[in-house]
Amino acid sequence: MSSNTENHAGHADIPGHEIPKSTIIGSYFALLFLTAVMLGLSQLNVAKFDIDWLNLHAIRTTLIMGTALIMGLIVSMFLMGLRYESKLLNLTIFLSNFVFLLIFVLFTWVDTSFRGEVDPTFNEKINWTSPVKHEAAGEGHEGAATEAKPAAPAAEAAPAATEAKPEPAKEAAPAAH
Amino acid sequence: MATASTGLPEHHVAHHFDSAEQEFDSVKTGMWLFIASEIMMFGALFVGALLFHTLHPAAFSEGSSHLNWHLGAINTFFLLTSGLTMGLAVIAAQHGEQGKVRMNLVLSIILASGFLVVKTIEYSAKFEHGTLPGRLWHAHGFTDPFSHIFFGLYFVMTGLHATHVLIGMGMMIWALYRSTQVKFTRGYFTPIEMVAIYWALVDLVWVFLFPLLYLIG
Repeated sequence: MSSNTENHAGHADIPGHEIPKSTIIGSYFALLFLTAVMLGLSQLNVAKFDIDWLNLHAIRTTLIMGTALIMGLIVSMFLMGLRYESKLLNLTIFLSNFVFLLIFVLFTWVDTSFRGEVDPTFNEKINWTSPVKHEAAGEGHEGAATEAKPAAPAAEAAPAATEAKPEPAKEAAPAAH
Repeated sequence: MATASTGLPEHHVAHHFDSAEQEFDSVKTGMWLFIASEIMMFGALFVGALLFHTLHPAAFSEGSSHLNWHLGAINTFFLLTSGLTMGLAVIAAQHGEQGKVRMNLVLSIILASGFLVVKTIEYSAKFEHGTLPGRLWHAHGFTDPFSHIFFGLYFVMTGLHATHVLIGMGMMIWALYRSTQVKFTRGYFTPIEMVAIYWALVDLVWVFLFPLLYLIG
């Protein structure tokens, strides 16, 4: 610690880093350009291309979110200054944070995408009857009082609710004024 | 510029720090920890969106088609440009250009207000159409029985983000006030740098929020 003080006392005591103005302006235009790319991709009518063996919709989604990821990297690298961060502690905080987030996202994605393959009733379970009453059912006013209960009463709900016919929760009286 | 900064006292390193560098690094570590907790908070919501998007893609597609991507794109422009002005404010602070710092802060505040104005326009349309979260939902013309989940996520995520925009604006106003109290130099620009990092986080979240809600579906 004391040698540190010595050091700093001797040298010019300069905190942080200077990010060049050109880098900041360059990142800004890169971000604008990537936003334009993202918008362009989203406006692309993939149904027009008649290709069966490729899921163009999924590819477009991946490309859009990939562009967002590049934009996120530019923001964190240059606007947040991560690129110029030399302290190992700060880098560890930031990067481990992303590793945990990745675990979080990956496990959720794997679970929701593939649980159907081990649990044949999964697709029925997720089509639970929502207590939020949709207009198709009648008046189009607010539904039942409580929040959605995820593990729905599979026995009676599952057969009825496979497609767009939500029966509102039974306790909701239709004329609620 | 020089006249603007004259008369202001210089910052003195607090007595419990060895140097300006150590003081700055301590503040920055604290800021990174805070940013990490923020990313985790938004991360949980993104995971929620991913979960429901995978389970009910049709509901997301329908909900997304009811959002106006033009307004979202305008807001992206506002946020990215304010990110630029905040970056320039940091550079100006490092060069001791007090006037430029203030100008860039004011520009950032104006752009952030623009974002909130557009958000208000969007929200009022949602209120009008009844596409509100949970049991407040009273919209017409939706075919998917789960589209209200999309709007629940929309309101929670954009609402939390807009709260961050508001807090960020408050911090910019504080930084503006600070610029009248102390002279920024290459050795002391901490307040501007930290506000800029916070603002970059607001940008970072929006960069993912915008495509997720408005563009894919």
